[in-house]
Amino acid sequence: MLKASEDVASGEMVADNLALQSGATRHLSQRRGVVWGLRLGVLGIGLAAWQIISGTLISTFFISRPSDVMNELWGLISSGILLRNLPVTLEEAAAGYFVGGLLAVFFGVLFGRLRLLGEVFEPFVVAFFSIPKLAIAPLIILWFGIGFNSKVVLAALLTFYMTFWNTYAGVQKVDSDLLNVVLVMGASRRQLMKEVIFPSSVGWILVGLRMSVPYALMGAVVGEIMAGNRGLGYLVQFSASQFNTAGVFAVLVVLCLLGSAVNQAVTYLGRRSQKWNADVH
Amino acid sequence: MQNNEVLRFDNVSVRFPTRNTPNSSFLAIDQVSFSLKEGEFVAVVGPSGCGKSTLLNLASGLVFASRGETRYRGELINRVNTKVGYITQHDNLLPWQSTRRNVELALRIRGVPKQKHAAIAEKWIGIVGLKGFEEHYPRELSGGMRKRAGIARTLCYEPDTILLDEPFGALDAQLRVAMQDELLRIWEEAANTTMLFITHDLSEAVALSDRVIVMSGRPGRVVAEIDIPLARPRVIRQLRFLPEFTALHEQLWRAIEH
Repeated sequence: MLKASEDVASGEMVADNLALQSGATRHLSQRRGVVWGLRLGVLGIGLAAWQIISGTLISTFFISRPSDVMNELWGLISSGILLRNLPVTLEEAAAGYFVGGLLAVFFGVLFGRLRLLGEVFEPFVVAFFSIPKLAIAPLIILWFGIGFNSKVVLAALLTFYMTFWNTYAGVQKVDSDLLNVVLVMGASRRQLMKEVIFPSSVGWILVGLRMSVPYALMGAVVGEIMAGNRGLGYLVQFSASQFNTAGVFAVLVVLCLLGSAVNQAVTYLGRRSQKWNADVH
Repeated sequence: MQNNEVLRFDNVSVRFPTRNTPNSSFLAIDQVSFSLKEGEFVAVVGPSGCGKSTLLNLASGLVFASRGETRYRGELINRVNTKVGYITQHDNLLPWQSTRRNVELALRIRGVPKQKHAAIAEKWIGIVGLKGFEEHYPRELSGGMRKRAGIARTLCYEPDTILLDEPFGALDAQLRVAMQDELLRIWEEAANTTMLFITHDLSEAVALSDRVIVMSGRPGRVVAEIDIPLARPRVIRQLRFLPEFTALHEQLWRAIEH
């Protein structure tokens, strides 16, 4: 193998890998089945334990019980309440996510590329984002009202942070040798951005965007809890004020499922755009 | 100054700040002077760490002289020099693009009409022997293949001058000779392309170049300039057995040990 010319050697390597891969794929799919089985097991045991504990060890008033939560959830669905409120939260979160993500990528690239600007603003960004976002929420509601806008702003604020830092770090981590080579080829600033800086940061940006998904939902829901008469946050707040624990849990279940679904979608999109990157797979 | 002079190092010294210890610096190259005429193939040899790569960074305008000056076709190099093509020691391919898209990179950047890209890329991918790997990503190629993709990427836009930093160092002996022959053929065909070739392989320097610049260890200084009057076109495999070749190789050895 060592004596063989390079092309032949690498050809063999490719063949070896293919053989290895088909075996590994089979093994992997079996493994995935086992993992999913175990996950369902854990979920089942957790739910069973909850059902048994509530009413015996801890009062149902505080922790409700899975069967009640399911009933409540079914009630929310069949009465159409969920269908009226879910889109409200989704729209707020999506709009906030979009605006926050866009601004985060823009400023991340800007501060990452213009080092002076970045160095000047870095401590301000750190200081601003060390304020607990919940503490700003009343102010946001004061400024943007109790409607749609204040929730979008909150979701955007929460989204911004993660995505900004990831973009900022990713843009600075661009290989400087690579930049130099492309500069010598005669690249303009715009071409440098398009050919090198942006594609090399995309992986980082996607990680930031993925981590931001639950935060966007959080922003919208927190806004609704604080002020508003629509959305999943309002449902949580309303159920709690009626001492309806099962109702609160039912909405939390919806939020869980929603967050996981959106996270899956973003992960899938990320994989597709990162075919070249061995680290992602 | 002769008017066919392409690149000139005039008493160039480069001092770099030392990492970790502030207010100190080290001299990478010291009062280096030499020049390249149009169409000339010049090799630079010397021990590692003698600032050979710094010379290429000066020529491409990525590093500037602390003293002295570097001129390209008479003009002081004070920003990135896009007249040169730079084949760096590391392949520096775009990891997110296929071999073909990597080879086409400079064509995109230089605004070569789109419909010509595929044909040019195909031709050069063939020359460096990567046919069949056009749609592979760099991580799917071996080190030597990545190297060759990098070479194709620079040669395909036919820059005025090509700077090569130990381009064949990572290749096995057979492939290296094949690539050397290929490079000579390309250079002989392309009229008036100037080559500045860095290597630590003395026989490679003799086999390829018209002139060899010998540098000393840190700080890098020019200690000898040796003309290589071997007839062209050359065939590397046969060259090594010529008595003139052996004599020049011998002479280079003595200069470097000096």
